[in-house]
Amino acid sequence: MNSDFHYYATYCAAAIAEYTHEEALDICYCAQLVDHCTRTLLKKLHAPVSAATTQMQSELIDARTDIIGLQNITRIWASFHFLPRDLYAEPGRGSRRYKRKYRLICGPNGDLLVKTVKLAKDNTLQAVGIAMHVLADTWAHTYFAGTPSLVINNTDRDFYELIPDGEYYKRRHIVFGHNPAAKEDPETGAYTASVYQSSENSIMNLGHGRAGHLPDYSFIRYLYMPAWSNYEEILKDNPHDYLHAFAQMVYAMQYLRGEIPDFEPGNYAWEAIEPYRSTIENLLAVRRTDDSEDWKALGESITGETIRPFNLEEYQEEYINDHDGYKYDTFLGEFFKAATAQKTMVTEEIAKSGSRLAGSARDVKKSSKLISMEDGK
Amino acid sequence: MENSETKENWRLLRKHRTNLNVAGKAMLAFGIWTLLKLILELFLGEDSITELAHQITEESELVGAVLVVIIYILIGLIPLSIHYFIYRGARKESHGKKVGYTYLVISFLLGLMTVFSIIMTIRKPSAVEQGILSYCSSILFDLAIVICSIDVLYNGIQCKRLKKALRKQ
Repeated sequence: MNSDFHYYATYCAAAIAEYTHEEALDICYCAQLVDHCTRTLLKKLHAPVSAATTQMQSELIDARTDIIGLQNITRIWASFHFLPRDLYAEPGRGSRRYKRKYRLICGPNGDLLVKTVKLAKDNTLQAVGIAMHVLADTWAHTYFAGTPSLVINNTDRDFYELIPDGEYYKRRHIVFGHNPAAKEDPETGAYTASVYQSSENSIMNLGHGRAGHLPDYSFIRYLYMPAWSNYEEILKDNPHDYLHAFAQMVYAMQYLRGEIPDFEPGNYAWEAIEPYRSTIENLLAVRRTDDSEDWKALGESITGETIRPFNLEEYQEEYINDHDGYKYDTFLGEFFKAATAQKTMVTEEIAKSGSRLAGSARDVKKSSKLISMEDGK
Repeated sequence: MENSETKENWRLLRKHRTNLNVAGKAMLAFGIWTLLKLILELFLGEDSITELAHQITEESELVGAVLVVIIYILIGLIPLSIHYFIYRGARKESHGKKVGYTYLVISFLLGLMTVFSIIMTIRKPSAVEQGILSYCSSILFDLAIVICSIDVLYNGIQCKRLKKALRKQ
C-alpha cells in the first residue's frame, strides 16, 4: 500500500469511526510515518534506532544477511509490513527451517492482528496509527513473508494480470522489468520487480519484491504461483482486499474508541461505510498507481475540513529541541514508544512459536546498542 | 467452474513445466561445458596445436593450426547444437508453446549414447591410467547428462499427456 491508502484512506476510516479531524490527522500521519521511520531518520533525530519501522533501499543493500542481520530485517518487516497470519501453521512437507519461514507468511485476520489492535487499545493515537498501518498491510501483502526467503517469496513467469473485459476478465502475461528507475504503466503492463537471486537469504527475496509493486496497487487483480504454494495458482483480488482492509480499519477504530466491546477477526464495519461504499469501490477500481486525490476529496467531504498533505518534517523540530528527559512525551517520542512496543510484541510471539528468525524481545532493546556499535559510536 | 481433476491437472502441468524448464537449462549448460572442455583440451592438452597441425598437414604450420582450431570448434559445436536443440524444445514446452516430439527423441538418444559412453569408460582399463580424478569426473559428468536427459524426457512426456487431458476436459 502507498501513501494514498496509509494516509488519506486511513484518515477517511478514522473520520467514519468518528474520530475528530485533528485526531484522524494524527492517526493517518502515524500510519504513513511507518513507511518513513528508518534508521537513517532516527539517527538524524538522535532517537533510538530500535524504533525503526522500515528500511530504505540503501540500508537494505548494506544490511548483513548473517543470522543477526536477518533477525534485524525480519523484526522490522514482519512487525510492521508483513504481519504473520498463523505462527503455528503446518505447511505439510518441508524441513523445520522451511516450516519456520512458511509460518511468517502474511495474511489478514490472524491472531497477531488481534494482538496488534488490542495493543493500541487505551493507548496513544500514535499506537492507533501504527496498528492501522499493520492492519491494512495484512490485506495488501497477503502471501508474502517479511523475511528474505527464496522458497517463500519467489515468483516465476506464471504471472498474469486479470483485466476486466465486459462480464469476464482477460489474462495478460506480466513480464517484469528490473530497472528501479523505470516508470510503471498499468495501461501497457510495464511493471518492475526485484531481480531473481538464487540465494535463499538475498535481500531481493524480501517481502513482495519479486512481485514488484503489484500488491500496493488497489486496482489490480493478478494470478501467480508463489514459491510456497506447491504449484497452485493464487488469485489476488486487490479491489476486494482493499475494501475489506478499509472496512476492517473502521471496525478496529470503532473498537479502539470503545464503541465495540471486543475486536474479533473477520468482522467489518459494513454498515458504517455503506454511504461511501460505491464511491470507494469506484475509486479502488481506477487503473492508476496513486489514488491520493480521490481519497483526499472523500475525506474532506466526510469531515468538511482540509487534509494537509503528509510532511515528514512536521514534528521533527519539536523532538530535537525538546529537553532529553521529556523527549518521549513529544509526538514523535510517543510514536517511537508505540513502534517499539509493537516490535517487541511481534518478536516475542515469533520467538514463542519456536522460531529464532526474528530473535528475541531482548534483541529489540539490544539492537539499538548493537547498531550503534556497528557504526562505531 | 473447474472441477478438482482439472485443477489438479493444471497444478501438475505447472509442476512439470517448471521442472522441464530447469532440466532444459541444465542441458544447455552441459552443452556449453562440452565445448569449453574441447577448447581447453586444445590449448592445455598433451598435444600442442603445432603437433596436431603437423598430423594434419606438413605443408604450412599456420594452415594446419587454423585447420585444427576449425575442426575442434566444429567437433565442439555438434554436441552444443544437440544440447541447444533439446534446451529450445524444453523451453518452448515449458512456456506452453506448441512443439513436436523431436527434442524428446533426441534427448532419449543422447541419454542412450551417454550410457554407452559410461559403459565404455568403465570397461576401458587404460582410462584409469590417465588419472583417477579425471576418470571419476568424466563418469559423474556423463551420469549427470543421463539424469538430465531422463528428466527432460519424463517431464516433456508428462506435459504432453497433461495438455492432452486438459484439452479433453
